[in-house]
Amino acid sequence: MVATAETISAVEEATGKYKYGFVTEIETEKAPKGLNEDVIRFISAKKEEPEWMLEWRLKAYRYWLKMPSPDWAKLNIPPIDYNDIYYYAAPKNKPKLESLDEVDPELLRTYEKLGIPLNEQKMLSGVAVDAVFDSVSVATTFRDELAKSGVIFCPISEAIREYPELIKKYMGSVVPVSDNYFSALNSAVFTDGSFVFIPKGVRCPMELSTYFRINEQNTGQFERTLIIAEDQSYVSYLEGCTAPQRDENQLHAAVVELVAMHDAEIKYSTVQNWYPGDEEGRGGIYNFVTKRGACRGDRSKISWTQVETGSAITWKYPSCVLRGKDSVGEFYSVAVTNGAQQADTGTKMIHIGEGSRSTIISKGISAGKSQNTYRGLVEVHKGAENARNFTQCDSLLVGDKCGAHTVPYIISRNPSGKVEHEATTSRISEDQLFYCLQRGLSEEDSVSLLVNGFCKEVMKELPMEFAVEAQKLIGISLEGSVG
Amino acid sequence: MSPNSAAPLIENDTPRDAAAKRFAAVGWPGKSVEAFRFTPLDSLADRQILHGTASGNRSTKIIDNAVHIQISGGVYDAASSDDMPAGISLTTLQDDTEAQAALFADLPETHPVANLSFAQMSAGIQLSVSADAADDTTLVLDYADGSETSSAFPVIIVDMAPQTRLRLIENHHSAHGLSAPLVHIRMADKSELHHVRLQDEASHSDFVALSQIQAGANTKLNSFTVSKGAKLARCETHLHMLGEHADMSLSHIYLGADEQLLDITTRLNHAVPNCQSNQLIRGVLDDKARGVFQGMVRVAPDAQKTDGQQMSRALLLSRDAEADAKPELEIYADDVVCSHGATVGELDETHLFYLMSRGIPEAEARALLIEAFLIDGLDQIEDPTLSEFLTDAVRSWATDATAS
Amino acid sequence: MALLEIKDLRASIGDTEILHGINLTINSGEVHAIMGPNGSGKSTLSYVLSGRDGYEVTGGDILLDGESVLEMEADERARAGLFLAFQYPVELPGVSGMSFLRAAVNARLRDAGEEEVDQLAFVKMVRAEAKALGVSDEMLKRAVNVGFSGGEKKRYEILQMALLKPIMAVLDETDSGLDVDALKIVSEGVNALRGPERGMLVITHYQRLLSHIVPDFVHILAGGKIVKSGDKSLALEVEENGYADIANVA
Repeated sequence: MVATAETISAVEEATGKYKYGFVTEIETEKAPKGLNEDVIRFISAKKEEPEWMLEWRLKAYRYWLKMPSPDWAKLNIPPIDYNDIYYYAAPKNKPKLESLDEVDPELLRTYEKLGIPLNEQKMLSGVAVDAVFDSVSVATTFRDELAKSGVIFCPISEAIREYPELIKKYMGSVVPVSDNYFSALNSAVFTDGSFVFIPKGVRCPMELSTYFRINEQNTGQFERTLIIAEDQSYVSYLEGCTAPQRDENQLHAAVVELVAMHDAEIKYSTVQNWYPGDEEGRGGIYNFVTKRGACRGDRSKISWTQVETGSAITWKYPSCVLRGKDSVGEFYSVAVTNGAQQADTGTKMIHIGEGSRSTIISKGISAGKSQNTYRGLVEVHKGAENARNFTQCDSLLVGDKCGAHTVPYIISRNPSGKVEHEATTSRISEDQLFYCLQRGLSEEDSVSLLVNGFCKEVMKELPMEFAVEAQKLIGISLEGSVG
Repeated sequence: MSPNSAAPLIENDTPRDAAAKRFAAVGWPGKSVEAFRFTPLDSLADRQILHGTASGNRSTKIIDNAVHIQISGGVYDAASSDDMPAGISLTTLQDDTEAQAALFADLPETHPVANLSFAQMSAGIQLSVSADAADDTTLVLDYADGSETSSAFPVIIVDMAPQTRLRLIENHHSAHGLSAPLVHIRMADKSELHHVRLQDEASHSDFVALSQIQAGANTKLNSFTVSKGAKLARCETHLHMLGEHADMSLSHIYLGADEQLLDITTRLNHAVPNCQSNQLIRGVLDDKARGVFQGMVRVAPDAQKTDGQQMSRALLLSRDAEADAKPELEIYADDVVCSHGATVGELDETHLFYLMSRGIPEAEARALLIEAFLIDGLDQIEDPTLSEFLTDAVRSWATDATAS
Repeated sequence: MALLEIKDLRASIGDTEILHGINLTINSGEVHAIMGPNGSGKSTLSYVLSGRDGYEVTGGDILLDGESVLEMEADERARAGLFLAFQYPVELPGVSGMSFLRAAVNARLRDAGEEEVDQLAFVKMVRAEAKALGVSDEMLKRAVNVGFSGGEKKRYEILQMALLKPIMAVLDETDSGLDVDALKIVSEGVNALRGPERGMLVITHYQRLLSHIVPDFVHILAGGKIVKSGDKSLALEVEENGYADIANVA
């Protein structure tokens, strides 16, 4: 049997397996606790923002005040006291860094411990990193080298000062301020995040990556990322995230906007490993994220790949608005839940352009007492001649105390559009498990191997540098789920 | 019927009073209610509630040797109905407080049709099938007559004793402004039901049906609905598998044209282990018609060895047609095999070309392919007599659709 | 010395006893065949030996290299040197063949306190073995058993046996689903692995496999018991007269 009484007890016993749960002792500067217009003014002032940005934030805040918190997901979200959160926390340091040498060594050590050395010599070759620590970007590597090819990769707070025209034009153009409760909140209080601009005809010479770390207690992280790929450009971007192990819940509400013009391609990969809380559901990150890409140009392509293993609650639907003719949207997802985790994640593919195509491959793995939901929308608009969608959603259950749910919405308004959706739910077969055991693999290794096999179609979409790490992560996330 | 007219529940309320209050409290659901997002019913609030009267006519026979039950103008017309054969009893619900209480206990609390139809109950009959009934008994519930200003709320209970077998035909061809039939079927252990339903109401009608089926252990259900009439039609079925080894087949075809809105909604509840369910849904939409399929399969904790399969396919024949689908799996047990599939598209051009290359004119080739798409679905019907009844209904629609 | 000792082994599935007291000793270097009609308990025996869940040992003992394996999990028995070539090898979608094989080999090495093999050395090792068994590079690249023909699956089983170097190999109906040519390749692979340090138990319904893998001893299993033992001529006797006569003798 896959799940035995031993399994259940093993699940209950398994604690402390989250290896990124440490806290960095560093002096920080915080905004006063709570959310009001003064706090927003404080954040804006800290970031030395122009007046128009402050106005934008305040407008978002006023929207947010009037909005109800969404309750349609299959999630049990305890009430959040938005006035019991710090919206700004930054390591005390010089506000502007001229080079990596000026970064607090404690921070460099933190990232080293997380497996993300910021020292360019030690780094994975070909990957540029923006490191966001609580509310600020602490370092961005390889900027000069990227600048040579015209690529801008910098903290978004810097972009607001340096490239106001680009920000004014694109920020909020994909995810409007009033899009949803959490995007409005983010628009009001976002503190940092990454800005990427790939000029026309440029193939970004290296992988770009942002590494998010929540360190402070009672602090929310509200980052904002904006990636613009002009005509015929290409960029591959990866984000990773971790947080200390704490008994309280912490809020992470990010907004990511992607814009792809004619023949441009953006590949956006996420390895999400926020602290998931303990087996009883104490602590862990609430991960409420709005991610959307606009395929504005003809033949443009946006591809989302996500490996979601962390967070106590995940609420996240990276989407594509396929406006360009023959544009392409992709969503590849692995979501692993264990213990008391809850995930409600999926995508929206909005077909507006003629000949637009989308592919959705979602693999959900539930273990322990967790609940894992795929929720997706495929919509074919009237003008989307010959639009195509293929969706495959597979769920795997490990143990009999968890749940796996599939909630797809299909709306088709064009007869030449073709939408295909398939979903299956199953568990690891006893035959498969026994076969591995008979070859001498332990039960845990066998399950990890079989689950990774189950996720293969998604894992192969990850950039090579991160695929191995992600594979291990899936194995670790399932630790304690089998006897 | 405005939501504000709700009076508080009091202790002496009869179940029907309570249902009326429940309905009044929320009224017809709009699109903000998730289960009605594709098919909001708030427009029905404009319909006057005015019970009809029986016309005294008996509908044309559709099947030989069947026992005919006439629901005319929304009321049960005993004079135009057959006598019940041995082993089957027909009793009216109007004065049967016990039967009313039992039904009320099984109604979903917030469902508009459940509450309104039970409260209004223009007709109320209970059909009890005992072990003495013949195995090949066929009952026809014939819903006829009515006018644009009348509304019908027939409430039908079918009670099948253990090890009984029944064929049940529901033939809806009335002309009410609003029809809201509530059907409640109890299948005791080892009973077997072959059920077909044709919804072919008048083109001005709104039709919102709720059928509930409670299946005991080792039961077998083979049910098929064709929905093609009415202006707005929602056929909603809640199937509860309450005993192990229930073998359930629940399939639908919807055929929409003009500005019709046809909704098929199913909720399957695998409450116990070892049951299997199979659903096939086929839809064809022409003109400005809209088709909706919502299908939820829920597998309760411990309902191990569940086998739940569902496949929905929609065919769009026109630029202005729309198909919406929301198949849904909610699974709390691990040793299960569940899957669903949903497709929306138009006729396969390569198939069309193949037929035309053999000299078949395009219109005829289209008709052939549409018919094939639908008739293939009708294979789910095991009983040949019942199959014939629906096949005729589907064929005539396909011919009309391609002729226009 | 005795590599495998089965002593008065009784085993049940649920409440039904399938094996009613089996005794069998296999010494190093020996190849034993177990023949029997359908339903005689052949596959049950292979699963009980390898420790599959759902098969309960209700009496007797199984000693592998002198140690009882009854308290060992399936993976521990495998690492102790017991290999089962499956009658129906299961497909593992998405699980790369090379990573699977390497994980299995390294698990064994780790247990033995030996150094694990690195990827490069391992690829070389696999290629050499694979070539002899006619397992193509293309097959090695695919997911485990996925899309393999019946013959390919069986060759892949023997390849695993060659890599894992068990002390005791149990071959469950290895001939099923094989045509004459495939049978020959598989048998040659098995014969190449025969050796003084290894024991083998060949389970089969038909004699034809035994003309390729010639056993030292043949046992007839019927109704959950060994009803007759002999040398290879016993197999021919079965071929000629069927199981009915022999089973009745018991």
